[in-house]
Amino acid sequence: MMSRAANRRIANTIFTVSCYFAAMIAVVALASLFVSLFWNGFSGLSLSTFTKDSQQGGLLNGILGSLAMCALGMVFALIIGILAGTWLAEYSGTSKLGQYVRFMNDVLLSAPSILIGLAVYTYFYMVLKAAGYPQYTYSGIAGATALGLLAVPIVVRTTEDMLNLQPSALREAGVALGASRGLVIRQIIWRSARTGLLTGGLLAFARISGETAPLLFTALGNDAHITKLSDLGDKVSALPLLINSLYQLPDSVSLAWTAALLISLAVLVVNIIGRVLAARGAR
Amino acid sequence: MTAVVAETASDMQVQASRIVRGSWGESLFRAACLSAATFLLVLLAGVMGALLVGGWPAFHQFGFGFFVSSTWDTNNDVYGAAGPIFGTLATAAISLFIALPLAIGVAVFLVEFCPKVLAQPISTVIDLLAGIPSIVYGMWGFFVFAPLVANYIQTPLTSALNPDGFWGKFFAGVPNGNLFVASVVLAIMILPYMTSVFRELMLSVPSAVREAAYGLGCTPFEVVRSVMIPFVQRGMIGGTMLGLGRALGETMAVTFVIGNTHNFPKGLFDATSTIASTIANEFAEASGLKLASLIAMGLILFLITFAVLALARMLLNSNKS
Amino acid sequence: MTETAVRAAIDIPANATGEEQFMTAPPSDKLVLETRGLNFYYGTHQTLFDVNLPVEKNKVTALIGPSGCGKSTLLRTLNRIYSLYPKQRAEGEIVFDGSEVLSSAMQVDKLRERIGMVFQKPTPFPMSIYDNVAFGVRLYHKKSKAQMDEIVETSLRRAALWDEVKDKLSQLGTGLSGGQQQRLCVARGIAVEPEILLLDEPASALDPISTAKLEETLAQLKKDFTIVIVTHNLQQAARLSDYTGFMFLGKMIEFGPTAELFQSPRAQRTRDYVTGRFG
Repeated sequence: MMSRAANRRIANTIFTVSCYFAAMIAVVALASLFVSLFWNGFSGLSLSTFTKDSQQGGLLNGILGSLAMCALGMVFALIIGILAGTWLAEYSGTSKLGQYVRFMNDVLLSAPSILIGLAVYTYFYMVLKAAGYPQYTYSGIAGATALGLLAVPIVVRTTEDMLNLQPSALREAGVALGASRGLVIRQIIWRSARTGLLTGGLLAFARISGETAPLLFTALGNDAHITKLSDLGDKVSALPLLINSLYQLPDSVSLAWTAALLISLAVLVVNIIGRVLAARGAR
Repeated sequence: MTAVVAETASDMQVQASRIVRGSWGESLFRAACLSAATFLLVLLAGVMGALLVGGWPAFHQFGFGFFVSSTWDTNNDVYGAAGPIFGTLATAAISLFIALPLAIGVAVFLVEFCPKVLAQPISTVIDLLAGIPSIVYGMWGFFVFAPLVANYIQTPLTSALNPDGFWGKFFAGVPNGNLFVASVVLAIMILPYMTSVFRELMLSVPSAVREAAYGLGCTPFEVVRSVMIPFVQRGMIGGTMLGLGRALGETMAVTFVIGNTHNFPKGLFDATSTIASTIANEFAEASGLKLASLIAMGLILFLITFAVLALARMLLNSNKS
Repeated sequence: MTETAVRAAIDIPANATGEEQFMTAPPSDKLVLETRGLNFYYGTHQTLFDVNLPVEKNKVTALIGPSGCGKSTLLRTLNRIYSLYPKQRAEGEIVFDGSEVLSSAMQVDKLRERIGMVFQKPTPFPMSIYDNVAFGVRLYHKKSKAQMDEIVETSLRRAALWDEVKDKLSQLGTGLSGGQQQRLCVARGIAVEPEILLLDEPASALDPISTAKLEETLAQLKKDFTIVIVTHNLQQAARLSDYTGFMFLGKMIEFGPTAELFQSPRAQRTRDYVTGRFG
């Protein structure tokens, strides 16, 4: 008959071993991912990756397409997101509308990205068909719109959080001099929170740069790379799209891995920059 | 009686009419901010509206049968979403079943057992991994994990079991793209995120509480089980539901490794599909009623995710009060 | 004794707890601002009861009292900074230069041009020292660069900060030490040439040396500005101020010339506080 103490020890040992085991499984799985990504990705990397398009064994069309659509999407997301986040932090108070907006933002934050893409496609198709130009449904603009819509909730959330961190004494000091609320927000509060706002933008950018599903219905993909801004009105390629189309072709598997590596590196670098900035801003 | 002076920004309110100079500029700015906030409401309604409008022909044509039929007949233009719906729920459930205990285990490991020197770097790495795009997990699943499962799990199982027996049928299936592989890949994908959330929750337990428990002679198991988890359980439920939400909506990690047939899976290793993977795969050639069916499925997915998120929010809010 | 003082001495308003108030106010023609029967509410909770505060021009008036007595609340009614918060409201009279501060006809931005405020925690704006000082001025006037340079220099000199920052005006205000930041806030506040400067425990976040410098500055500023200062430091009030008001639980218990209040306080409670019996 085992003593109570022995029972407890056994239970604890089982638990501890399980935790170590879990950690091991996680490390093995994630390490395997890491290793296969870097190993396969680097072995396919060469100069032509950055100079040739996908049909010639490079990734230029994907790289430029991704950059252009993410940048355009971020412009949209930053404008809407910062303004909306400012409203939530500075003007909404405890109003019901504020609560609804926050909840909707959370829903959008976690909504499946494929559905956002699907919705953007539907609107672009309907509007362009009604206008008589259904052939333009698939375009870089549509892709950028979908990506921008994905980024907005992230920017809203970080903006609200960052602005709420600003001490109210700072606002009072501005108002005490006679400045209007809007002036205080724009010239003092935004400036004071700028590191946090930038971090939010970076996080959003990292998130949308890896998104594939929404681009399947909007940008669709293109063998050629964009050369001028108006090319965004046409179908555009993107790194994730290239992965999707290349991975099953035996000759292009290596290229797909390289594309995956490039995206991952971009995401990691942007995230790290964001963390460094956040840590500096906290000082 | 205290003079309450310090308030949060959210308690402030502008009195626009009092400020004479630049009053129109002030109203304009405030209106711009409000419009942006309202845009979010419009956005959500817009997404639902698009899915409803686009998917309506399918609902109209198939009615309730759309939810329960797993037919997917392109030639005769008859479609049903039951297969993908089941696949979505099954992969999400199985992945959560795998990821949840793993995430708790890793989080506890990092907080209680891991040498302090290693704990921070490992945590940072896990946080960064949470940002890796899902398509990368899909690649890994397709090229690394699925073959591993096929060679080291499925083959031994099928050769060891009677193909006509219950277990034989349960573990029969196809290699490289099936329910099991997709669920595990999904689990590995949501693992970093959930581990991060759980770890931060556990770190938020006041050290005084932890120390008191240890001081009473509790083993780590007892401290975690009886003190820490109850302390943060609402947050953990909320985090789990958010992980679930991600699992439900995930596309690329799943599409590569699920096999993409429209049937109910007949066993753990049978090919199937999720709503997201079906939409991703079939969209390119879809038109008319097929397209509408895809969009209709998207609406169903949206509603499922919305319900999960609303539930999570309710649970998290009751945590605060 | 002027009529106001006599009236104040005789018309002792009996407040809720029946405590007597002792007011020795300055002559009314020398007042620049006065509150009469001021009540303040946070929601339904009342925090100021029937407060009369006379403020004489070009003098330093100090408000003292234990934590929570309402001295900061009272200060914050004078420039209506409380109106940022919807739950807070004031009732009664605050007369400034013949106008009623609390009325809805009062343009608060113009009010705040004439009544400035320095807060407990130094709040430099995230911009250069120069821009910090110029910020308030730019709200109201368009000045040429030369004019603005002069205003910035004058303000920083008056705040006893010029020598320390004259070579780094373009550096961020947030890079200064705590004491310097607070003097920067003072410079910023006086740059718009307000008639009254309100200071809410301005030295409580500073070390003793910075505090001494700040007090020196305030003593000099008295010549050109009227100052109302809230402080929990009795010695500071005794050093700096001409008039002192002692508050307790939201009421003005005693008000009068500083020397009198400290040396021969009339109310028992005042006596207890200034002798350190409680605080």
